[in-house]
Amino acid sequence: MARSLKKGPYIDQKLLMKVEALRTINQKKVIKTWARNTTIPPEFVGYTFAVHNGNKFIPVYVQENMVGHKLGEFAPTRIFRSHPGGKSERSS
Amino acid sequence: MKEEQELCQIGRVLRPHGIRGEVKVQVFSDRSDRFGMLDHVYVLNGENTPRKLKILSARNQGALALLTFAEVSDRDAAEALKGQTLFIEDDQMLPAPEGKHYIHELIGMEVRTDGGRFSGTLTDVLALPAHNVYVVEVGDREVLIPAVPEFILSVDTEKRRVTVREMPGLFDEEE
Repeated sequence: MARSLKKGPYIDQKLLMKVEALRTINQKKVIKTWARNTTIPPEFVGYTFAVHNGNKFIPVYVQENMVGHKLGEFAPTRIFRSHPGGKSERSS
Repeated sequence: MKEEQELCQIGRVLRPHGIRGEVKVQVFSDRSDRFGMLDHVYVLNGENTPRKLKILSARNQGALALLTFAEVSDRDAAEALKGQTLFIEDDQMLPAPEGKHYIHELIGMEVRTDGGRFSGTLTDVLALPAHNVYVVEVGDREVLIPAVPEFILSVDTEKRRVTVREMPGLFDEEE
């Protein structure tokens, strides 16, 4: 069942406070978090979060198209290595 | 005859598709329609001897490709290719897209922060849902760096050096 619209999206308040503190001093740093269930609000765009995947912290640089998704969606708990070792046409 | 060193991986046969020798292939290229541009590919036999396969048809199914080869006419022959890596010659490789670099070229490069405080070696590139992530070995630690312009300032292919923006919390263990 979807979350009630009345409540609005779930955002970890401590995380939001950390971002707002950085915004006020106009500084950027990587924010460590375990709050995978936090919905990404527009305020997070341009900030980088180190999201815990149960094993290590995965850096997630938040872009506009990620707003409305959960932070955990971008830090998979099972990493699928889709590119082969050795020479191939995969670029980055 | 081509040696393996002169070949580039272009895909991997996942399984047969249908009964007429068609195979489903995972594409190891940024372009999912890559096989449509090729005339032939190679597979390696048991003794690493390349065997040429002429592509008769290539179509896409999502991110995968469905291929038919002149030498593979039925499902049994297609089954024999299951798990095999498909190769092309190095000179058939397309140039990397503008502003991007092939992952195999990046691996092994020296990674330095713009302030010069940290340096390490790029050991892997992870394809994650948000963006690619560079895995950098700094001393005995592993550091993950988002492969986005915000962090990656420059990639110098001649000096084999990547310069990244130093941001608190990225290289150090600070919270």
